[in-house]
Amino acid sequence: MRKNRVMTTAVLLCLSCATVTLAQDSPPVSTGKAEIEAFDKMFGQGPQEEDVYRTDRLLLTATGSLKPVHLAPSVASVITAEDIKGMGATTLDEVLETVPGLHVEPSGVQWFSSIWSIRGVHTSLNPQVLLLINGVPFTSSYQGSRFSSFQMPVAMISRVEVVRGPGSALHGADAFAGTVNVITKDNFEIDGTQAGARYGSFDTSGIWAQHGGQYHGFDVAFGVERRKSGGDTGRIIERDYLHAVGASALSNAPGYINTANEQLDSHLMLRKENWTLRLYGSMQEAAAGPGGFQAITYGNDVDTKSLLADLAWHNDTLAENWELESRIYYSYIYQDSFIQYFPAAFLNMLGNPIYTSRDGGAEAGGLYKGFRDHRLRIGVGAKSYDFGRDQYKNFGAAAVADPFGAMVHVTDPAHIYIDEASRTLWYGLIQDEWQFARHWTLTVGLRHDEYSDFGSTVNPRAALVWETRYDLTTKLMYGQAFRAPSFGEQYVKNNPVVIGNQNLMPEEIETIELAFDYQPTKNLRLILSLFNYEATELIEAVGPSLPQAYTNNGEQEGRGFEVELDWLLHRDFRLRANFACQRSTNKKLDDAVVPDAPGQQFYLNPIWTFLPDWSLNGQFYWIGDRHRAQGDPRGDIADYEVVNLIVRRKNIANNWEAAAGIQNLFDEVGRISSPHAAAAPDGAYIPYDYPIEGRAVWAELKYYF
Amino acid sequence: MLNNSMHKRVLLIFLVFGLWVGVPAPAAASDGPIAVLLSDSEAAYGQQVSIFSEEIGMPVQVFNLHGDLAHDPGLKEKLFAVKPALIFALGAKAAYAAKLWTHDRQDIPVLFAMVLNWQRYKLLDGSSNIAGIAAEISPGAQFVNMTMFLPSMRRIGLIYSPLSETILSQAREAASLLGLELVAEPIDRSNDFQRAFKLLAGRIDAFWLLNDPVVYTLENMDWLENRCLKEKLFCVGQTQNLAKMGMAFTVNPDFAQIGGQVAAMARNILLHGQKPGEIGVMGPIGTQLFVNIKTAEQIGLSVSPQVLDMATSVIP
Repeated sequence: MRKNRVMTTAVLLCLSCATVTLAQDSPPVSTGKAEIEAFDKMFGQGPQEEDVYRTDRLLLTATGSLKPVHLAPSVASVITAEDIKGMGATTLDEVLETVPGLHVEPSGVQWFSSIWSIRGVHTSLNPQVLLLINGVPFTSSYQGSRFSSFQMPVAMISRVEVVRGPGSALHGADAFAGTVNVITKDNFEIDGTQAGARYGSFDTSGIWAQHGGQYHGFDVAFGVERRKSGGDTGRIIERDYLHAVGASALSNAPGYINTANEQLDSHLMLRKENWTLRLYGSMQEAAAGPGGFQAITYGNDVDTKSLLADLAWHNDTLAENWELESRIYYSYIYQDSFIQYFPAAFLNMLGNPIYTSRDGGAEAGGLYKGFRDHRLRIGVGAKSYDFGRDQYKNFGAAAVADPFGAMVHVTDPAHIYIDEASRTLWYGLIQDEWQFARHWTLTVGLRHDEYSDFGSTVNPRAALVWETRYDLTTKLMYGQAFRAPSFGEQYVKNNPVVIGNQNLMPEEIETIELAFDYQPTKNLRLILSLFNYEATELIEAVGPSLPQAYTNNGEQEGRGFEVELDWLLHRDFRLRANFACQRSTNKKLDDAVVPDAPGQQFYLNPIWTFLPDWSLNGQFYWIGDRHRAQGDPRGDIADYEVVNLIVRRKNIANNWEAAAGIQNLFDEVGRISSPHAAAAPDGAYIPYDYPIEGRAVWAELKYYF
Repeated sequence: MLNNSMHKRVLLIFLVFGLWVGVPAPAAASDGPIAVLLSDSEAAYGQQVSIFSEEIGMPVQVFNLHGDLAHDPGLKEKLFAVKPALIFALGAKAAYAAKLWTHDRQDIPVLFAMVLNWQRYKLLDGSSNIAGIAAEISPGAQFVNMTMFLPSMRRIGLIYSPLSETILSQAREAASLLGLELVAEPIDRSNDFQRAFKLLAGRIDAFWLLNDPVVYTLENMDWLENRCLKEKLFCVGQTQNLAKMGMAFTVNPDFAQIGGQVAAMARNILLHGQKPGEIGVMGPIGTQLFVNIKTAEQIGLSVSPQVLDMATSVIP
């Protein structure tokens, strides 16, 4: 009996030992609930040390506070000064062309001013994209957008933030299809004195100098830049308006389209303690491209002087948990345009419209951080728009004594090209960033605008940002925007090209976006953005013949997507690319596809540091799937691609840096659509469109003192 | 009925079988690969995997948490299915997951590296199978390096959250030994960083940035970069990224040597039977100094050529 017990015990002991070991070797179960809970308890309570290894660009424009781009409640791009230098850009337009879903092309109607076409919102005056300089709107109340022929040289730009989609809930009207915020350099970024010069094809030259330092407790940054281009005289227009009316013998066509332009920009920043003063002054001149009548002439001159002054106060110690800020600003734009509508031999019709756009505003607000999971921003403000005008011309009722002779000063308000106008705006906004759960942030905002002439509007927005995984952020966004018609759209008269309409309704847009920001490795980032919008009452100049009238012409629906890639394949080789696809139709025109806006565009940007201090930057643009306006008999606009190459050498003899580049390496003959004119026999007065700029070479030298 | 000798034989067979099956095999006897467990796909971890794989000379299989234990609940099963001889965890999340997963498998050694502020995770508590290498240079060594750079430095400021209490007490001891004064401002929220910095700025000769997750956010670092210039303050961080962003000076481990250091520890455990519990957490053997010379000039520091010679990298 005892032996049996001993044996049984031994067997059980052995089996027990074996069981323990077999249990260790048996296939283990999946991660248990308790383990996940313990892990969440450790890592789910806020930021982690490992975030130290993460880097991302910061975005200001989306919420008014700096936020990493991948967490920002918007679809946004940030282009830094380093990026701009790498791509060899000299103007803001060239920078913006690299942004997914954004295409820059000259407006045939508006004297070759740039259209920043975003996601199919593509109108000739392009007031749907708001330009901010250091957060302050810089628009002409005549157009409701940048002034005609506006170009911004880039030497003083620290970074450009581009938000696609409506931003009216924060920035108010005009932030309709997108917002471009240009942040200029401060003294720390400049750090001393730098200067540079560039020369290239088409008699293009640039020279700039900037200085940053601290003097008597003031942070001081100053920059001045002069840029000039004679324009590519190889952009030949074969036929123009005069051909259409049977006066080809008097036409300058075939002849080049005059795109000469010149800018002198200066920036000043003074900062002391909580106060910052910024001044941006600009003097610009430009030829007016095809002019007003789509007739090739060479005497046009759009002369603009502008000033943007901005005094800001910021304090985060005055009241606990509050970041208080206030700002007063003033914007002055004076534009004096000399337009020769036709070759003098055909008709000596001359116009000299002049306007002054004076806007001033004040705003105050703050960011409250006292709630644990909320960041509450509130603000109130007021803005005054004041528009004055003058004119000289030699046609119409004002010049009845000597038609098409010497220009006369138009003093009779009945004969001048536009009425004086003013407008007052009051607004208030509230925005809350609420982190309501681990990895979930809801941003909701509301802005109320009260216009003296258009009544009130309320624009909400909401954005849900979900840090789906460590390497993936998902965003769902909804926003509305509103744009009151500009003074030009309302009040232009006695004009041979366009006529205003005082019965215009404000434009409105409603957008929903879904975006995925995926960073599977530190060196690879992929962003997919999908959007759908519905815009109503879009304003465009329409009509079978000139002058055309501004009309609420667009009931536009658009949808599409953008894909971005940023891949550091090797420490010396980076590849950036984006592809955008959109389809927008106008319900008012039987769902006709919105003309001229590219349905597809592709950008590829390899950057290779092939030797220490040497880099090669390539750019490939493809613009495709552009359609004609309804009724335009011309076939769809041909796709085109452009290749640029830039080679750069840093640290030459200590403080020197040099670069050289070729734009449009293969001299691609791409075309930019000319406006449809039903009265023209070929569908347009310039039937074969405008050629893009041809091959250009340039070289640049910089010195850091 | 079995007779007596038969009983003995049966008993002997069971005992031999039981012992053969039941006695845990020495870790070194496992012929499975070394499992490398990554917190996520950060390049900093990938670099360590390459170095470690080269140095160890044994089969290595890589598993990735992708930042979250819940990302792939089957990952644990996949890892254990290869019968790992040892787990090398890179990053805090990986180290913590390895600790949880081996709670009942103390026979599997775990080594960790690249875990910032490792004390916070209590990785060694209740586990005898875990050892590792700290991801920070000790406060004392950092202060010595800072003193070389700025000999006149007497008061060092820092901002900390409750997550950094341990490192703070180490720093206090080190400062005391070196005759330095530590001026510390506590914060609970990342949003309070700027306010706390302003309180410190006029009272210190240098600012020492902790790898504290409440302190270290991208927004705060962007702000700090300019603020250090504005205050002309010698600011020192612990990751080379910060020097590239514009901070004057960083002191951080030589990450290239950590992989080799872990490989040596792994060999000692697997081939020579050393117990992880006997090793504990070692300091990194290499130190890197990054100097942003442009920032140094802007804040008015004159850096001697000798100090520059000591720097791993001088960022122009």
